[in-house]
Amino acid sequence: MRSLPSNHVPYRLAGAIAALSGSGMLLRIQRQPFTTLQGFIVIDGLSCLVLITAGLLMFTMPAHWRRLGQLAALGIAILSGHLAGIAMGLLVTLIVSERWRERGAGLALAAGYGLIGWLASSWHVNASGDGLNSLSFILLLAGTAIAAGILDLTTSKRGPFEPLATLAGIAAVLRLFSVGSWNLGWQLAMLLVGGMLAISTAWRAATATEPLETEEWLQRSLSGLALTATGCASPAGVAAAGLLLLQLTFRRLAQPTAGTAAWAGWLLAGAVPGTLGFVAFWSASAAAMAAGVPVLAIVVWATALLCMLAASRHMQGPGRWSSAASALAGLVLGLAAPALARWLLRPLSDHLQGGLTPYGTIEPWGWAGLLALDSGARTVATAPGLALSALMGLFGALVWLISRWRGWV
Amino acid sequence: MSDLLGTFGQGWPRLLLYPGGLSAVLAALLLARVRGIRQMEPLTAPRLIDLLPPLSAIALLPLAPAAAFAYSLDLLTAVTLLLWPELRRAAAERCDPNQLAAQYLPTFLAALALVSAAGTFELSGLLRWPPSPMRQAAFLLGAGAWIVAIPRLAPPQPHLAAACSALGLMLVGILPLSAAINTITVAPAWLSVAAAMAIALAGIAASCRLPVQWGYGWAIAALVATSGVLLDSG
Repeated sequence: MRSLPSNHVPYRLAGAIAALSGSGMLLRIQRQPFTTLQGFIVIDGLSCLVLITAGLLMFTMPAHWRRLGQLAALGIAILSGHLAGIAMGLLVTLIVSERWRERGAGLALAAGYGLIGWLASSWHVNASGDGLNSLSFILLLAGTAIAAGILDLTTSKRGPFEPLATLAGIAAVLRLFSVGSWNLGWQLAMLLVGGMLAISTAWRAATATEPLETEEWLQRSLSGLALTATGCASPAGVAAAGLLLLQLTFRRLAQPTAGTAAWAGWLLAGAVPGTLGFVAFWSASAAAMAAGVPVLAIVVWATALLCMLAASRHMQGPGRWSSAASALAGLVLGLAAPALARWLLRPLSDHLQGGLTPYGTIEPWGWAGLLALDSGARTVATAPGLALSALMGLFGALVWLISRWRGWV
Repeated sequence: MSDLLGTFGQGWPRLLLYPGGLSAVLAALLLARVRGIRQMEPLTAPRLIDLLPPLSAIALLPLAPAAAFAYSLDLLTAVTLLLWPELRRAAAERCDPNQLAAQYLPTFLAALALVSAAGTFELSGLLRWPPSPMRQAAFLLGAGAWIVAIPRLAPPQPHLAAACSALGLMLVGILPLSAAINTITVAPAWLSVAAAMAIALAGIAASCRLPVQWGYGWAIAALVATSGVLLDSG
């Protein structure tokens, strides 16, 4: 096994510390967010999710001083209970990016939060709802869409996908639910921009010929789906966005373009029910259905099928342990989705509850899988991942026995 | 976990006899024969793996008179399981995405009509006849568009996994048809399923002979009805 170059160690160590501290804090904030220093530090479900994913993403990027700066600034933004802290953290996270587009996005995000603070009666996140305004929302939406790569759709020259910048953008719009509730126009704008980004990038991924290009478009599509789910402004949408961010992280950890065994590639593609990818796609579509927007739900599902097709077209090369381990971890997390929903997704949606509508929740279905419920607590979608896997295992054993007995295989 | 084992223990006729297991394999072979496949490929290990997702989806369909099963599927999960052999083929043969989009578009429009009328992704929702005339129209047109689109969605392939895939897609299409038959007659549930199956088989056979534009025509009609439903509920 190759040893890690010594100059990589601080970056990986920083990533491990962020991911582990995010996981550790999650245990502390299961019931309610942890607030300290007179409200300047707030640790909630969103903080923990962002720290965990940002920490894991540090393992997927080349070592560079910018990454450490981005991680530290994103940590400050997501742990800050003060709008100035959020604005500064987001600004620094994106301003140290390589490209001018991301830097512009950082300015837009910082201006959006700065304007909210300027107009609100308080700069504390939980008491600044009266400062929410359409201009701030437009700035935040534009900044997030640019960070997720919407401008790359308009040019023939494709830039690299920057996962920390994208994560910062998605975290910025999710944090807006802590400030206050959105109006219907904002929701519609988010759904349109997110949906357009998701399906356009999924189509680019499906039609791209180079594996690396496909992978980058695919990751942008996952980001677009996360924005679409966020636009549902419901606990189900927030949970779906969290699952999509986790799927994005696992795809980056697996790096299937560098070589993957076919079985691992299929598990990572999200085409196998019970895997993390499938649960993430399903939850985004189910959130749209629970919000009463069937057109969006079908568009999201079409996007998911395009993503599955794009991912499955470029499985190649020798299997690598990192790809296999990520695929297996994705399978375990997908099968353990009910536990994930209780442990990670429920704090995420509960702590943002103040800004969310009641139009849809995703609940554990015993140990068998997940359920999506609408505002009237009626079931609108079911994903019995564990039950389905057990059934397929049972059928597999039976068919194998019959085939051996008949001498077919 | 004991719930899961108990459910499998009580639901074995559904898994092994009807609608999954033996009856699914026999019906899939029959459907393949109707669609012109005379000789099936021998079963190999990859083909056996391809067979499992569609077979599992068929076993969990809410078809009368099979006993209820605690862990039901929704349309998204069922369609993903049923399209597994096609997805594998599209990936292996590097099918043109433009061509795939043309094939799948009528099915997405049909699915939109069905879920808009039913108000849920749950397959059991497709068994409930909707109350308003606009939703009823979307329901029936959606079912028709779904069935007409099947031959292009799952073209005949000489192996059991593809045959099960086509059968499963057809069975999803007969759920709203059987709901309609149940509403206009007092026939037993199994008879309405059989009648819906006969209608679906005739629809598939007819659509194989009709030009591709017919599929789009159905889908557009379903879309028009869906827009009526959406405006109605808005």
